[in-house]
Amino acid sequence: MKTRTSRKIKKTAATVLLYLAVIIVLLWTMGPLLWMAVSSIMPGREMLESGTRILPSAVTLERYAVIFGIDGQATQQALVFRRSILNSVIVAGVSTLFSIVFGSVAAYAFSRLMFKGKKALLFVAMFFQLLPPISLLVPYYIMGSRTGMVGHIITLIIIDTNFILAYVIWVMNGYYKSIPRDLEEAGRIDGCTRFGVFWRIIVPTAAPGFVAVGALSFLMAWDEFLYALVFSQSDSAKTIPVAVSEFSTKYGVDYGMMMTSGVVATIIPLLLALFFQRYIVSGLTSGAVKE
Amino acid sequence: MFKKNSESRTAYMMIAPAVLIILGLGIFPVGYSIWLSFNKVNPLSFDLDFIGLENYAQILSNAKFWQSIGITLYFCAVSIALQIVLGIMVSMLLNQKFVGRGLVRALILLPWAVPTIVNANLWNWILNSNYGILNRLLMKAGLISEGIPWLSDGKLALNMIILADTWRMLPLVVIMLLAGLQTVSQSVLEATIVDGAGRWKRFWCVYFPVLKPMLLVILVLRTIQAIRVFDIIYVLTKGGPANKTMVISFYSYFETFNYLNYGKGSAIAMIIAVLTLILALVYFRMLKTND
Repeated sequence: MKTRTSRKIKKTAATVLLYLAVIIVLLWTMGPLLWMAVSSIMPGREMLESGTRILPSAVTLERYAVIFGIDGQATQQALVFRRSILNSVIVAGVSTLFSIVFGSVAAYAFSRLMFKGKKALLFVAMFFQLLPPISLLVPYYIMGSRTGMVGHIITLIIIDTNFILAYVIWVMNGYYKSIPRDLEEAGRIDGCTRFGVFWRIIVPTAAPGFVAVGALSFLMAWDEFLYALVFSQSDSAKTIPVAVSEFSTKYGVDYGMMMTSGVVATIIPLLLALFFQRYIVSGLTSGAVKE
Repeated sequence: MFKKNSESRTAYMMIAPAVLIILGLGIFPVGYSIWLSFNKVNPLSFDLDFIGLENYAQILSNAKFWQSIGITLYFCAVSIALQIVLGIMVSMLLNQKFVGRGLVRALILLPWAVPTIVNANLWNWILNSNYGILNRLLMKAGLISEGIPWLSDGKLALNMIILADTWRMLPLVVIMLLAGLQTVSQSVLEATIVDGAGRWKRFWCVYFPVLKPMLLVILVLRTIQAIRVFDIIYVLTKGGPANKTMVISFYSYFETFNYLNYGKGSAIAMIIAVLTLILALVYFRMLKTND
C-alpha cells in the first residue's frame, strides 16, 4: 500500500518531469531559430573568433542596412537578394492564385460529379503532387532552352502552378467531401446551375479550406529551390532560396549575411504559419487522411 | 435534377483547364523524359542519338548508382524512424495538460516555416567546425577540446543532414499526430485508468490503434518526401565528402548538369519516378482502406 505522502511526491515528480520535457522541446524548437536571429546581429569579427564565446558583446544592424540599401552602399549580392524578395512574392503569389482558381473548380467536379476516367485522373493528380521535382528537370530544361524560356520568372510560375495545382485538387477534393450535400440540394431546387451552386454555395462554405490550401501553396512555392536554381540563371529572375543559397556557395562563405538573409526570408512564412496555424493544420491533415 | 449526360459535360468543362495544365506540364514532359532516357543528348544542340537501353545499362552497372541508392535508403529509414519516434513522444507530451500549452503548440510549428534552403544555411553555421555554436557549446561544457568537423567527416555528415532535416520536419509529424490524438475517446481512456493499466499498456491499447492510420500516412508521405531530398544536400555537402552524402536526386542532378549527360540524368530521374509511383499506389490503396 502506498502512503499518501509518497503518492504526493510521485505526483510532484511527474509534474517536474513534465515541465522539464516541455522545456527541452522548447529549447530544441526555438534554439536554432533564435541562434539565427542572434547571429544576424552579431559583429562579423566575433563570429569568426575562435574560443567559446556564445553571445555577442555588441549588436550590429549593418547587414540589414546593406540588404535594404539604407546606407546607400548595397553590394551586388544585396541587390540580387532584394530583387529576389519581389520575385518570390510574384512567383509564389501568382502560381498560388492560378492553382486555386483552376484547382478548386476541378476538385469540385472530382468530389461531386460523375464522369468517365475520374479515378484515373485523380490518381494522376496525386502522382504529380508526389513526383520528385528532379524527375521532370531535364525535359523542362531542354524544352525551356529550346524556347528561350530559361531565366524568366514566368517559366517558374508555369512550372510551380503545375505542381501546386495537383496539390490543390487533391486537398480540396477531400475538403468538399466533408461539406454536406443537403446544402447543394437546396440550391439546386432553387434553380441554380451546377456552376451557380459551386459559386454561391460551395465557395463560401469552403472558405477555410481555401485559406489553408492557399497558405500551404504559397509556402510550397516560396520554398521551391531546384527549379528556381536551374531556371533563374539571370540575376533579375532569382527567387529567395536561390539568392540565399548564394551567400554560402557562389561568392565564398559569409555567415553573417547567410543568417540575415535567412531571417528576412523566414519572416513571411513564419507569419503565415502563426496567423493561419489552425487552417494550416487542417489543410495538412484533412487532405492526407480523407480520400 | 440534373441529367447524367449534362453532368459529365459540366464535369469535363470544370476539369478542363486543370487537366490541360497537368497534361502539358506533367504527362508530356514525363513522356519526353522517358524518350530522352533512351538517347544520348548533345549538350549544346540538344540533338538526340537513339541508344536504346544503354543509359540504363550504364547506370545499373555503376557502383556509384548503387551507393547513392544505399545512401538514400539510409537517409529515408533513419530520418523517418527518428521523426516518427520523436513525433510520438512530443505529441503525447503536448497532449498532456500544462500551463502555456497553447503557446507551446503554436511555437512547435515554427521550424517547419523556415524555408529549406535557409534551414540548410542555418545548420551549416551551427555545425561549422571552427566557429559553430555546437562545437562552442561542447567545448564550453568541456566535452571536447577541438572542434568536430561535423560536415566534412564522412561518417558524420549524413547523420548531421538527418539532424537538420529532423529539426525542420518534426513539427509536421507532431501536428499530424496531435490531430490524431484529439480523436482518442475519453471514456475508453478513463476506463483503462480505472483498470489500473500502466502508461505503456495505455499507449499500446488506447493511443496506438487511434494513431495507426495517421502513422501509416506519415510513413508513406515522409518516404516520398525523403526520396526527393536535394536542397539541403546542395547547400551543406554537395554530395561530399567522398560521395558519402550523394543521394539519388543529387546524383541525377550531378550527372545532368556537371557531366552534361542529359540522357543519363533522365534515366536516373525515371528510376526515381518509378519508385515514387510504387509508393503513390501504396498510398492510394491505403487511403481507400481507411475510408
